[in-house]
Amino acid sequence: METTNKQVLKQVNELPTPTWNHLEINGIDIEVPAAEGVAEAVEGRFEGATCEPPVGGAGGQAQAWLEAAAGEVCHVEVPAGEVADEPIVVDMAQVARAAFVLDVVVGAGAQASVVLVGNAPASEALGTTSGWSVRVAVEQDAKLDLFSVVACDAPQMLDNVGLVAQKGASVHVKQYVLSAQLSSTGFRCDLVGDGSTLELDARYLGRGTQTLDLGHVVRQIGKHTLCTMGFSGVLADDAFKSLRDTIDLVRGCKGSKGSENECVLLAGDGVGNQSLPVILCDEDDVAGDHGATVGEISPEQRAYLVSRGLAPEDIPALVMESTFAAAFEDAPVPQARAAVRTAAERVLGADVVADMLGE
Amino acid sequence: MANTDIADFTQAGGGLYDFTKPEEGYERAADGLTPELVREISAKKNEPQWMLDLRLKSLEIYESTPMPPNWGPSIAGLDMDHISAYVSPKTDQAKDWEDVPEDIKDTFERLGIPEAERASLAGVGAQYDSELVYHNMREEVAAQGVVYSGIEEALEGPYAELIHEKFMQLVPPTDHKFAALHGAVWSGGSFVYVPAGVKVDFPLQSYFRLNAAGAGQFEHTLIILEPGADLHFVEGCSAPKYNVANLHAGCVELYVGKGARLRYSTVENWSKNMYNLNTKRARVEEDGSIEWVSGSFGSHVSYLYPTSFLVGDRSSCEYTGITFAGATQNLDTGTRVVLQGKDTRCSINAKSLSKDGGISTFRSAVCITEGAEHAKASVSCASLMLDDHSRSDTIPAIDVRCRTASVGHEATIGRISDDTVTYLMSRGCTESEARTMVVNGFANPISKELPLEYAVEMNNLIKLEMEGAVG
Repeated sequence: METTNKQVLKQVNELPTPTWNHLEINGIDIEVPAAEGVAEAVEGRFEGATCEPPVGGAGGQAQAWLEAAAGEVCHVEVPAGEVADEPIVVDMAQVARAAFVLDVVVGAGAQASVVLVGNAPASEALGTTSGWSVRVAVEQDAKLDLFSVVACDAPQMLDNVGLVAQKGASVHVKQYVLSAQLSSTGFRCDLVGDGSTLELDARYLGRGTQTLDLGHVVRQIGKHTLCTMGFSGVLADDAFKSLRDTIDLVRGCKGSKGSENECVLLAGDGVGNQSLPVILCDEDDVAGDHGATVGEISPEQRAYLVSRGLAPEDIPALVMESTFAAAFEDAPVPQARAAVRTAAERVLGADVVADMLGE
Repeated sequence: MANTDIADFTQAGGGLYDFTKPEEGYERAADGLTPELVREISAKKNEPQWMLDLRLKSLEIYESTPMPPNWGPSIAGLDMDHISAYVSPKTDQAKDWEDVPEDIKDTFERLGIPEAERASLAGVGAQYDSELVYHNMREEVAAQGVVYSGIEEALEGPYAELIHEKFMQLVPPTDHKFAALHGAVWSGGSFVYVPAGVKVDFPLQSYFRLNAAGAGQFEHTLIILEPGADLHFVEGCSAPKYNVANLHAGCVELYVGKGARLRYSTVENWSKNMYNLNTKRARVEEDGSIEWVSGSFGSHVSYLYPTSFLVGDRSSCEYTGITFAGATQNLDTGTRVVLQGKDTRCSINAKSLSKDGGISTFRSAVCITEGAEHAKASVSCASLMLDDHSRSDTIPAIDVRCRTASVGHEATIGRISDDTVTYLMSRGCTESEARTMVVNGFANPISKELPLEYAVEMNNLIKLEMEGAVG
């Protein structure tokens, strides 16, 4: 990919229903190297799926850039009824280009897991931005586990995920955003089939002057669908984070339930936090709720930790350590664990990490 | 484009408020906006030069400002070329109801305004179309140094310089397109000044009635509370329904001094052909507090987000609001609070109901700036869906730039549970009564914040809206 020219991806991770423009919260503009590759035509992709191709959460411009930067698409189909022994792993350290594009169909009744490792790019010559675009069709009664971790020290990382869940399908997602100067996480899941479910747990860590932008949209279309999204994170130093998470209860999704929750710990004097938990509701027979708490560690928690011998200024580091520890524990493959470890060592130091891992 | 794409308005109920009076003998400006019209309005009011300059500048800004392409409900049905910006009943402002022309007096009597004044108010202003027709205040309140008058009148008195200093400073014409429109053609409204340390024991009330079809109402309310003052200001509004669009683009600017307290209550029941694009702002100094109590029931489309700037340390804001969107209505309401001072506090409690295809959107922004050490904010929002063809959205933004600040937010959305209705029916209620009872209970935390007569009005509006909700 040529990197001499630049282009700006407008309103990446855009909110479906925008609000005040002056808050600059509706999406993020990201300058990237102009991608001169050619994206593979959409036609013919997801032929094995019973649904329309999933739409990524980062938006059309980001998706087009990622596909052009990748230059090719990796197609994986897990046959109906099959339980995949090995996860599908995308390790950016092993990718020759700046981006990787993956289309997956998990056949009816099948089980699969996808692991996305946002490690350092294989070559510095690839430019300032790397990322992936992953779209998965989860067929009837199929199960998908998706784990992603952004752990590189690269200037910019674009994460674009789109999922469609058919009847009875279940999707479990764990996301860790731990590093990168600018990390953009766009996620969309359409719960199309009756009884389909999504459980998402996202944790993030911002430090220095890092910017984290997360846009999550879940459209509940089928009847009796269930969505649970939890976000938690720590912002230290001068880090800035924007999270817009939307539950869209589409007319006809009777009996559906949607819930979203965020907990943000502010641990730096220059931090900035934007949270925008949205519920769009076009159906009466549903239940939706969201909650958010933003602030410092509570006085009670602080008093407890101090009573256990911790210095107050060390408390944020402890919380960061716990984020890395959780990521390490959840990481399902060695590549992911290695990426988490490397990122943790950059932040906490090798000795602390060794201690954290009981070595 | 004519304002004719709103035929559905006529299907929506109006009840008590839906009666019209002839416009015979009224002065009515030609539809549309021109510099000549702006000069004409200014000349009628014998305004100082700065106000005319502000109007003309505002018109320029209006004409050069686009509508944000991505904002809320569509106002495509509103065409300013088919709106008369100035309609005057050609009567002098009265201080005695007996001096108000008969048909206008009848209007306000049917709305219960004179009765409310006698019973429980410290003063009343009544605006009919573009002009105030009645303004009065109790003598004992005036004796405390409280000023409550028409804003044009005050521009000629001892507070002229103060008004010059404050007018359209919180809502500058550059703020948005309809703020600019307001700046160009504003007419009527109230000026309130409460001296330092004065507590006004009874509320002051302004009532706005827009009678003319295809007209706009652009009243301006300016309230200044000096340090330690205390006031409850109540605002009501209604209009008969027509099959053409009407526009309300009023403006409210509130200055709350150190240690002062202002409660601003509104029950809005515009007719369902109304575009209610109103702008309200408050600036609160040290230890001051602003309390917004807001009931939105009427209009076809509303953009209404009272905004508070908590500038002073320990200043506070409470917002308590309810929105009921019925057939043909798309109501985008909520609030914004900017916490700038240290130890500032804000509490937002919003409820919304949607029925008969109505669309209700709760939109808020809590912004905590860098210097707002130990600021605290809480946001609570509950939405009730009353049928399966209505819509309710919540879009609450939180923007925190201060480490020591804390924000809590919660929201729920759902419908009346079948179990609740079944239980109430087992106790002898009809299904309709059961649902109305639940809705009244849902709205109760808001209505109890209103003066009694407004709480009764709100409950009646809910009852009216709930009629026919079953079957």
